Amino acid sequence: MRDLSSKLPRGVRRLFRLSVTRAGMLDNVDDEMRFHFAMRVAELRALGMGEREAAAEARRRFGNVEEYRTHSARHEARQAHRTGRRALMHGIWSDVQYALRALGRTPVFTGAAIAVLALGIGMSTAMAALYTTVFVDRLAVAQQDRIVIAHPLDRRGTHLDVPFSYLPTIAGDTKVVRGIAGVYHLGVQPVPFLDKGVSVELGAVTASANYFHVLGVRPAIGRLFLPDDGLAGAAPVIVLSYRAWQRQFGGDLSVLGRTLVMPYTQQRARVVGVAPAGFAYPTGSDAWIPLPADTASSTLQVDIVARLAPNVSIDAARAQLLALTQRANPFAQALAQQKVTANMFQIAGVDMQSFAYTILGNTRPAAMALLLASALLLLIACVNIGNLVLVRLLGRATEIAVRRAMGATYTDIVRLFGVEQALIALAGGVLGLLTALGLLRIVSVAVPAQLPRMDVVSNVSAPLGAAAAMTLVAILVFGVLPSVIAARAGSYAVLRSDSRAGGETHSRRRARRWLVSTQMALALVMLSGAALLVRTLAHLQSMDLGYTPSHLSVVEFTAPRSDLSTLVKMFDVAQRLVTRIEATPGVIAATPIESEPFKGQSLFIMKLGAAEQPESERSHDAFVPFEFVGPDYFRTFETPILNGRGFTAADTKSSGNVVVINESLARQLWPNQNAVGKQLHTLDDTLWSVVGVVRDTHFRDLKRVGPVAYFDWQQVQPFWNGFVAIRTTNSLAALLPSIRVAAHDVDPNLVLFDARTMDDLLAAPLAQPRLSALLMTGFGVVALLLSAIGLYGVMSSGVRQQTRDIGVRLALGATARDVRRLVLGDALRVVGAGSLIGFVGSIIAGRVLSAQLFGVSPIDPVSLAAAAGLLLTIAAVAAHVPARRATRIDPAVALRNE
Amino acid sequence: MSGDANDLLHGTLDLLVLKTLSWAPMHGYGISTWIEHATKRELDILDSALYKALHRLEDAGAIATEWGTSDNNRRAKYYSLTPRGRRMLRAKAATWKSYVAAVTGVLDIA
Repeated sequence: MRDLSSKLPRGVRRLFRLSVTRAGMLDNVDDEMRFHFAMRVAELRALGMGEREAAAEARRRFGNVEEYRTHSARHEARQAHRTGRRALMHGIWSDVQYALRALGRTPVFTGAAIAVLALGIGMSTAMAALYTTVFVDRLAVAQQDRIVIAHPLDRRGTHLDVPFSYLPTIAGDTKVVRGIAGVYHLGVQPVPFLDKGVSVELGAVTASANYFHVLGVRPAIGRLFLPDDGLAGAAPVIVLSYRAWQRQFGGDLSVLGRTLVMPYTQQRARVVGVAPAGFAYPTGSDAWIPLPADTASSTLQVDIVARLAPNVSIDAARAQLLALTQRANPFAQALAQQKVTANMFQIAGVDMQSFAYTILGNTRPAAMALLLASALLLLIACVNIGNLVLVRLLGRATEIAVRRAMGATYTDIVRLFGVEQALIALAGGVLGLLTALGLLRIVSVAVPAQLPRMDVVSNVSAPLGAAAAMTLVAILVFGVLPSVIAARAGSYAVLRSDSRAGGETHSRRRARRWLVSTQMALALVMLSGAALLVRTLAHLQSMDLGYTPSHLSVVEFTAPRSDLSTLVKMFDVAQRLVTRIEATPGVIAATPIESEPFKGQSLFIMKLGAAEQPESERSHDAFVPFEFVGPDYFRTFETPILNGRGFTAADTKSSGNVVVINESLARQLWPNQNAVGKQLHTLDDTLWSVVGVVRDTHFRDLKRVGPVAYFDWQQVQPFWNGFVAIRTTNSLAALLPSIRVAAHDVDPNLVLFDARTMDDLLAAPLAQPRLSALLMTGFGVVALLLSAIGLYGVMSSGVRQQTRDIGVRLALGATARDVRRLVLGDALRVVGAGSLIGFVGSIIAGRVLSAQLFGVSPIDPVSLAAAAGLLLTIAAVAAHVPARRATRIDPAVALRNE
Repeated sequence: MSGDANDLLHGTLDLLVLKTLSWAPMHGYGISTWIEHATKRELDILDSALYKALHRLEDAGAIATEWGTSDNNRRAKYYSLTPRGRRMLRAKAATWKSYVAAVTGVLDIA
């Protein structure tokens, strides 16, 4: 039953780690039993029993011996298993303890490595989470790739918004579309609804009743629009966005059924439902109101939202829609009323974009560039720390050799070092996740809602998966690889008589220098990209807008519609209001304007052309943005009059029709001629004499200027939207009370609804450039620091290796200056190579970023020079420390040590 | 023997073993004689059952084992109470006392 090994003394078996067999395990049990029987028998015999009798009594008292042995064997096996597991756990724990001690001996290295990793992991995790949420996650609509947004275009590419009544015509073309809806073309409009007497401002959008049905949106709670909601005379309803529901109504379920009142029109709308999270089209929508299918709204202009039939490509649909609009002109009905021929409104093309593109389109390249930058950053961070780790581990070559000699296997060494790196990565990963959460928090709080899908950013859950994945990558790149290299190198390094501890082969050193050069190149690419974006932002902020934004404000008034029922009455109220405001102390000038700034060049447009052109060419007339303005418009905006004059109080309904045009329109209508004195005609054949030409302004669109025609509102007496632009001597806030009083004096029902300074209004179009510049600069600076650390590492180890050479040089009479030049020259070669690659990379990066740039060439010498200058400065600082150490080498000590 | 009765018996034996070891570490035979003395031989416990109880308690982490030398200079396996065993003893003793009090209370009613 017993094998040979079990006959050996126990100590010997343990010493040679011979396996403990099942029979062997029972040895202990049997020993214990033997002892027990011996004691029991002795006890019984002391009581006077005979030998045999005592043995029998002892066995009886013990019970079934064989059953007990079987039981014991199982118990022993369990115990052995437990002991083994405890030993393994103990092994890992001691590895961790050893690693902690080793890391504790180099707190600067450990701290730096963890900080760098945390930054790298944090930034890239946050970017990945942002990108996924904004660009990858599906929009909250059904089959989003089937949905398109379409606009007919005129000859000059101006967007035309079709009348609401035209939608059924398109819907009839069932081969192309499955459903067609419309959104009122003015988009999101802030409305101060009253909820049980409490004011709640919501960005409201008017859309056709089938809007949600066409998009395939499902409600978060309640219902969305029903077909009946669009019938003339239907009870008015309103649907809230998820974000508005959460933020303005605290996610209260009882919001359903509540009635919101528009205070000035006294229109009431019942809240029937909430749209799902992540659905806020048009961007910034808080609430949707159905567009009734009555005669009043039939001429309202809408953006076309269409669901294409399956298997119809966007190109095919675009062609079909163009053919349809040319067959059945969308404006025919409207034109019939204005007694002009449809020929004048020829549709020259159709702009049709996918839903996703419409929402995200121009921000995607910027986001992609930032995501790429953050990924590069993480890579640099890992490579860099890998480099530092390698140097550190190679410095422990003696330790490795000793361990190998003591019997540690190659795997033991890798595991030992791997645990150290894994601990750093773990700490970096945890801190990185916290960094990412912090960054996301900052983004969701600091970034205005004007950017697409910022409504969902605050819903981003902790990007645990991404952080874990990045940490894992980090462990692989900088933990395992250097450990393997070091273990392999270290195992024979010390045995070579010529090698010094920490020695590197020439080829490995060259590889490390190239790595640092690559980092320098990447840092330069990011820095120059950041410089381009910063210069773009600076240019946008400081450029000549054609008007002076400081001390300029736009205020909005509103009044119950019934009160301003007639155009004449409204115009009268507006005129008296502007006069009163201008008379207020602290106001320099004021003028009515058509709308807030930055609404684009497709709203408030009219067809006009040079009066002298032949009748046959009138269909070529362009759509031109117009402004109906007061006599003090140009004084209010401080827009320079280049030629002729602005409006005066003498321009009235009874005097001759006059118009002021901007440079672009003058060039367009009368290239190379003096426009003043010419005449232009509008669609209704009225003639207008050009009395002045003014500077182009960045008012409709921050980045582009285009033609604008200014009409004197006293001559036109148009519908007034409630906007007044005011130039003040000081801050607007101080004037608001007196402006409120002025409005009340003019008409008690007139209410100051909104007041914003031009600087506030400029924040919206600047939001995205500002965010891009901020993020890219952050990435660039981190990349720069990382590459500086890399340079420092490679230079330091270089100096350490060349100690003997430098010692010899110093002994032979070289000065400290020579030595410094030697080291710095070496650093310059590394940095120079990196800069050269970086220059090429920067030029490519400029190309990639070109869509984001404004007023800056993609190959901008200033940006490149600034980036390169910063890089060289930081590199010089990083290389200076090892260079100084080199000059302090004591030749005698250096030579003795070798 | 039903499972419940078995559990009750096991529990009683475990409690006695733990109590015995609460004075000092002891070998199996020592535990056996100590329990015999303490119970005045009222309980007839098979030695194999006692050893099984020791294994059970070792599995539960209540006692630890170590080979040592007995009073008469023989190699013997010594059992000692672990901190967990000490806690187990306190808990089991309290349970036992309240159990006994409850049963006694019921029987005294008659």
